[in-house]
Amino acid sequence: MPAEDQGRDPCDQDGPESIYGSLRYTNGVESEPKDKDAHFDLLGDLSEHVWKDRGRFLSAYVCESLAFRLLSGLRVSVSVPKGFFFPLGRFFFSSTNLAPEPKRNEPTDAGMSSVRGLVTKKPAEGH
Amino acid sequence: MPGCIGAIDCTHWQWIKCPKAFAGQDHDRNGKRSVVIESVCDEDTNIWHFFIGARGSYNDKNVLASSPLMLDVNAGLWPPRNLSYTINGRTHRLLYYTADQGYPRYPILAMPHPASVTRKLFVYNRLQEAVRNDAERLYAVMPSRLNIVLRPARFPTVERMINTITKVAILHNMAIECTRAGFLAHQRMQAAPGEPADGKGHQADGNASGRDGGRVWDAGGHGFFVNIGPPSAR
Repeated sequence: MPAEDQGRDPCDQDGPESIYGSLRYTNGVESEPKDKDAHFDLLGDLSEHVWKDRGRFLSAYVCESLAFRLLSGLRVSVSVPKGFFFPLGRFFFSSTNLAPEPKRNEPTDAGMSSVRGLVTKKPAEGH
Repeated sequence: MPGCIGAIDCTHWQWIKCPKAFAGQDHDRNGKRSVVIESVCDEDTNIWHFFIGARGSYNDKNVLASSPLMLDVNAGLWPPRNLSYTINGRTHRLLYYTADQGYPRYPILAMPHPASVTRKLFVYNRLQEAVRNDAERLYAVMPSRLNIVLRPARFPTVERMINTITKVAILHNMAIECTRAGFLAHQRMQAAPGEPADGKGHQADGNASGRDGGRVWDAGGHGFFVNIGPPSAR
């Protein structure tokens, strides 16, 4: 044992790399996959990543969005019961939960054409 | 989604011949007696982890806590820490599964954001739902392919259910391999950029695989009851 480690708890390792099987290593590997803050960091980074390339990622769902728009249009002509399409339409078109981004460096609208179908304006009050 | 190693989800397999002594434990939310199946699959619905035997009254969190997958995660054996990926300019070390809202908030599980108050989070939730759907798809594809899973189990013991579902999962993976002619996601990953992955005209896309460019496969099948990764990866 080196002289500087004399009298030190072998489990108390301050080095950059913890020894496999030590108490510190065990605590680290158990707590790392359960860190709630790391989870939300991951979600934040993923949402940024997806947002940057949203045009490509969401292009597959534009057809789905258009189909629901068509169904919403049929609602008027076929006169189905009021509120029949509401749950689905609310899921795809409502923006009641979608506040605009407050940041100043808003990305350009270049990739938004494919997402536009998913996000619409907030409906007027009283409807 | 870079760093994603599959989609995890649970389903119930109804157990008709459940002994009355176990009725309380196996009573699921639909009022039937069942056993929970937990699985991890990729975009080809190739099964990488399969765990059956949890009681029907368990929810997703309980099943994950009792799963051998979580035992390995707790022991630091899984996911492999020697891989890293970069998202949004930040390097992460923990690979993750996509999961639904029923799972605990662990960094190895990329779940939908609880409050999608901004457009970014809304778009992320939409894409995450699409990726997560692979696991749901497995529970539709596997019973349609092997009909014994579609029917309620008539086995007297859980051991025989495990035995049967193991065979079903192996057959399902064999069918996937035959369907893809041996062309699987991990082979696409191992191919160099611009080179055909398997000599059959498929084009690999460098650091990417699959639909959206990010599935990372390193170790072979991570099965416990069933170790059914593709033979080349074992």
